[in-house]
Amino acid sequence: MTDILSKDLVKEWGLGSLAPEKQADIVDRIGKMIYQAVLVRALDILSEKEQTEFDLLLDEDTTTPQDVLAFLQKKIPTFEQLVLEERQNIKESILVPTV
Amino acid sequence: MSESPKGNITGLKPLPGGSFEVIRDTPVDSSPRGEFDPQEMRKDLEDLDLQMALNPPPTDFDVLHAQVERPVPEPPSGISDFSQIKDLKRPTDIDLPPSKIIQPGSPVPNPSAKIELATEYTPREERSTIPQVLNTYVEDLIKGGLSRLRLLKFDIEDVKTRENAREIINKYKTTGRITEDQRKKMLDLLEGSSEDMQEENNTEGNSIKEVEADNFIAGLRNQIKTAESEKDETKVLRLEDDLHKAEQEVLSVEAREAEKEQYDLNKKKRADIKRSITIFKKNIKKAEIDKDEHKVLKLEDAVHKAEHYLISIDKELADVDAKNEKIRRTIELNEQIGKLDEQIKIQTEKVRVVENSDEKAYREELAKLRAIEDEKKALTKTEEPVASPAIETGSVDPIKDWEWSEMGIAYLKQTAIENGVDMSLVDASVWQEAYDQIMSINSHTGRVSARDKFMEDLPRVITNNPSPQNSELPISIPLDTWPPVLPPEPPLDIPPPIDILPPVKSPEQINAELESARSDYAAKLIEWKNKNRENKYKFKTLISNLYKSAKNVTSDLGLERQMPEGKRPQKLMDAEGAYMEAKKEKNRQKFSESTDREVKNKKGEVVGKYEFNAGLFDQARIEFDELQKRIAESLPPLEKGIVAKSLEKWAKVPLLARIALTTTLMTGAGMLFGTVAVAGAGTALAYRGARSLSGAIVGQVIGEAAGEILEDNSKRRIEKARENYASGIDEHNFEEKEKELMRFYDKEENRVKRNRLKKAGVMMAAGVEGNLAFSTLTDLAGVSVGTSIDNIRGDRPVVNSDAKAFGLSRSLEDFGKRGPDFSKDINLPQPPEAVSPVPEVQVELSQKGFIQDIHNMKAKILAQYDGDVDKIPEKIKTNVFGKSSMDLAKQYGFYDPKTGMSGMGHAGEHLSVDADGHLVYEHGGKADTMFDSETGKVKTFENVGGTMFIPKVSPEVVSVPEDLPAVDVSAPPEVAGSQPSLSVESGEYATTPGSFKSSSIDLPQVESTTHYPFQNGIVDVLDKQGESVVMFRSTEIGHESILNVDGKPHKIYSLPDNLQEGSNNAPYREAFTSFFQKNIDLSRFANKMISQDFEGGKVHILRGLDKSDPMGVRVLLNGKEIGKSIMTSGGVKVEIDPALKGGWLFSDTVYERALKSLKPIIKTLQFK
Repeated sequence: MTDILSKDLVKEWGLGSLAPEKQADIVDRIGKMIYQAVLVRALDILSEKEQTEFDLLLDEDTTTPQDVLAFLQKKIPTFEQLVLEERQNIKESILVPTV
Repeated sequence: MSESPKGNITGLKPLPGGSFEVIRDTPVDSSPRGEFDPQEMRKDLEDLDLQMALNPPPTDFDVLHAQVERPVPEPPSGISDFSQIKDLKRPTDIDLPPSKIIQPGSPVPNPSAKIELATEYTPREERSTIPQVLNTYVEDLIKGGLSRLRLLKFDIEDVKTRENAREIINKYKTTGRITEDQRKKMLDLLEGSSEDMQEENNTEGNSIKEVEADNFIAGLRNQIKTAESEKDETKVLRLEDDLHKAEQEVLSVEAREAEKEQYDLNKKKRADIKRSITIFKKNIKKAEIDKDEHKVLKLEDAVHKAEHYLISIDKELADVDAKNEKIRRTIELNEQIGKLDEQIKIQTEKVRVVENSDEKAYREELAKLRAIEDEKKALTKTEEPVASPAIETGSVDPIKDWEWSEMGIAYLKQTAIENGVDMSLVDASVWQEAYDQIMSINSHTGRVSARDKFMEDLPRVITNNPSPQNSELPISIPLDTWPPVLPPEPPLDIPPPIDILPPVKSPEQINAELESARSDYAAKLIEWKNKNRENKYKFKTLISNLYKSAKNVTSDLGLERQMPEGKRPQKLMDAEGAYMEAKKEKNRQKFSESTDREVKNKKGEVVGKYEFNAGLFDQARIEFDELQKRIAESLPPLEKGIVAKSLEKWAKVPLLARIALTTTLMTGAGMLFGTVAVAGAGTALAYRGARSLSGAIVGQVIGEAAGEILEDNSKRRIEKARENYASGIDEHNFEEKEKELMRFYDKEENRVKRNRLKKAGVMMAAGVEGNLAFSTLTDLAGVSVGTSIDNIRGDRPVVNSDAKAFGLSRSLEDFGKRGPDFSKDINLPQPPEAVSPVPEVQVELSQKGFIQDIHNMKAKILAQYDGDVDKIPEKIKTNVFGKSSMDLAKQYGFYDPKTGMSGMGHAGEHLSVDADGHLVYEHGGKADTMFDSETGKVKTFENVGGTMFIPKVSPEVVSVPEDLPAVDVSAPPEVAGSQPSLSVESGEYATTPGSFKSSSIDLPQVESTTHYPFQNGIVDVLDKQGESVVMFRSTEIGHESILNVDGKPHKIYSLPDNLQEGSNNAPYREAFTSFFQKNIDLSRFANKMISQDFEGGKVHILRGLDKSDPMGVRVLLNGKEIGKSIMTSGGVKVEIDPALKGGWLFSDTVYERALKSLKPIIKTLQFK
């Protein structure tokens, strides 16, 4: 699992002291929190028609979370900034500065 | 420009030098009395002239006969002549400009007469050039009886130069007021006394001390010249510095003297005015007796103005007195403080004496010392320092450095030297500063001429205290060391200062504040979101109108324009800030409770900038969920559905694929989600290496669970087994290792009590599920996989909570409940009370396809356990009921979504399930378990000898058990090769190929459901107690309606009115149309039919529905009858149902628009 998680990620999120399997578990949970936060915020920006389009995309069985994010990235010019902000919010909530 | 004088001229007043002053008849001031205006006062007094009041002006006749003497008013009692009044001054003496006069030669006074000053106003300090002997001579003449020369006396005193004095004397001669002899005498005295006057100035203007100071300064200048000639620059600099100081001192002393002189002058002015007022009042009484009203008024006015002037002078004097009083109080205070300082010195010495000998005495003496110090502090605090003698920080302290002499003169104390400081080292500026203060005090109090004292000391001070730059001793002693610092204080029993800490909040308080802040923030956020939606709608309307008004620009603008994201209101940001603060407070509490504060690696190095803290994370996750829950509750249905579906997608993705995506989200690296699939593929490559570790995760979870419930010995055995398991594990042997671990756990089970064995059974089931989950990772790169590792681990409960928040179907929740919950590592659900026997189920393959067969098998199994899912053995429940029939079909290779191929079954073949929940394919006289126990992998249909084919659609009726758990709602049309569909007989439900029917125990009120795929979604037809409702995306898009055909009712479906219009409802109309066309064949009711698309739906024109009117036409919009034809004189006309009209004032309804769209067709009614 340590091969899966990048060192940068472990370092950035201060997970170095955790066991590898715990790291993966935490990363998965954090990822879901960011994903959900981004979704809710993105809906504020999408137009009604885009929301309908988004809904139709989600009705497809083959749609994956990657497709979801790709769709939002395509529709929202400031999507990266949005993700960055939500990531920062969550990071501030769960991490404690040590140095 | 000065204003013209008011009043009529009543006469002229002769003035010295032959000039005249204009006299007017109404000089009474009309301004309200009691209001003092200095400017006005000055002007009025200018007109008034006190002397005029004292010496009434001549009449017009007098002017022409200037020699006529006027009666002299009575002087104050005891004074024979006004000239004898000491210090009696003209207005000019009290800093008032002289009166205006008319230049001689003006034959007739008139209002426009040029008025100019007879003489320039001469400041007092400049009036020193007229010899006193001249004044004495004039005074003698006055005393001799020439009272008319009184004015001359004043004028001579008043002139600036001798030239002016000469001019005045000559004018007096010209006007005949003095004789030629007198004139000559006066001029002699004036001209011949210059030297005397100089001497006089020397003796009066410069004191001896001043001369000494001047000499000292002159000496310094000479020394500078000498030093310059010697080219001794250092000496020049020093001397220049000394010279500068001396000059500054002289200037400052002079300034203070001027100030004091002004004070004295004001005092004199005051006395003069008071005296004048007294005289005025006497004259008023006299004028009243004489009944001279004009004079009375004039004098009263003069009194009034003089009183005002007196008030202003009193005020100035009072200010100075107050200042002096302050100084006096300061002096007293300083004296008190000085005494206390002395006491402190003495007491300090006492403390020092007993410091090391007698502790008790030491404490007593020390307490006394502190008391004295406190007394001094109290004095210092209660009294404000006075401005003038104030001491700036770091300067000389006058309290210590000066004192009063017996003569009441302030001078510098020399005690500073006694205090241990060598004053010779002190910068002369220190002295100078001290002297400044002394001078100030002395000058204010008026006790002494401080100047004399200073002039005495100045040379000595400068000589004894050379400037630092010239001194070999480098620097002055810092003032804060003066007096010398006391020895270090002995330890006191005074407690050390306590740091003031913020009040500690209780956990309850913190929680309450957090809850409050969260609620407030959520409320404001939701309010803002709602407002945003409202604005979004307006924006859409705006853009829409823009399109309408500007054709052909749609493509340029783009059909969908997002409303720019507005700035968040301040109140929302404030609430967010408060919420963040409350969270941090809570986090601080959590953090302080936690023990894992260190974030160091094995080498003791700090890892990363931030520290992960499990307590904080749990708290943050709870907080996050709370807030999201609040937000979700406020979302409109469409958005709520989107979030729910998105989270469902997330949950379905395998853990490793999620981690690949999460890495992007958490690091922002390569934030192009179009390429995430590549990252996912990369992750898939890492899968082989990671799967063993994933196994380890599951194994550890299970191990931890087991370790929790087993005995200590068992724990040790488990730990050892886990060590063995973890050692040497790799991608090739992990399954075998895992089995070994499972077998170990099996043995362990026998060593614990029966109730714990049950939990262990659940744990093993989880292990098996985990094992199966790994097998599904072959679809890691994005193929939809029903069950994955995340279903085994902690995510399922999270998904459930999300599903509740976002309105996911109950079936999904139930699905989550069925699986074990390891979200908290050790949180085992209660197993069934007894292990159920393995069911004996076998279903014969049908033409309906494997999905249906699996469905049937599930129904049979469920039937064996009385419809109670919980009674089903865990492995079967997990492996069979934990997945949809579709997923099972995919998993076992009965259906390949990529190729659309399905497995081909044959009559007589069966499908069953073994005790581990693996499917068994019975064919050709054998039973193949579709699971390889050696590899731990599922065997596909082809692996066990099955054949795949591409099915054809054939409409058949589905028949399924009524009580089958509804977990299968995603059957695509591709698998309909053997799929059933409903058919309609005798006007019953019309069905079409590609649908199948099921029932649900999740929705007991629904007897059965038929599903129709539509655009990768599902249109459901729910049968509710005999009535059918068509649903799409949880919205009712169709209900039963009646179409009368030839007098007989036929059930069809129609779209609800609320969905008939609106672009946002277009998808529902499309879904309904799809369903309608597949299920309702209208053409069989009519002899002719025309269909036309309309706003996503369909309009049908039916002809010949009634045999009695074969040419009659009826129009249906999405199944709703909206109009029919009537016969008119002009022929056939189609009319709208009156109930559907919108009215004249309103825009067309959707029904009117639909009919209008049919006009071209209706005109011709060309039915094909």
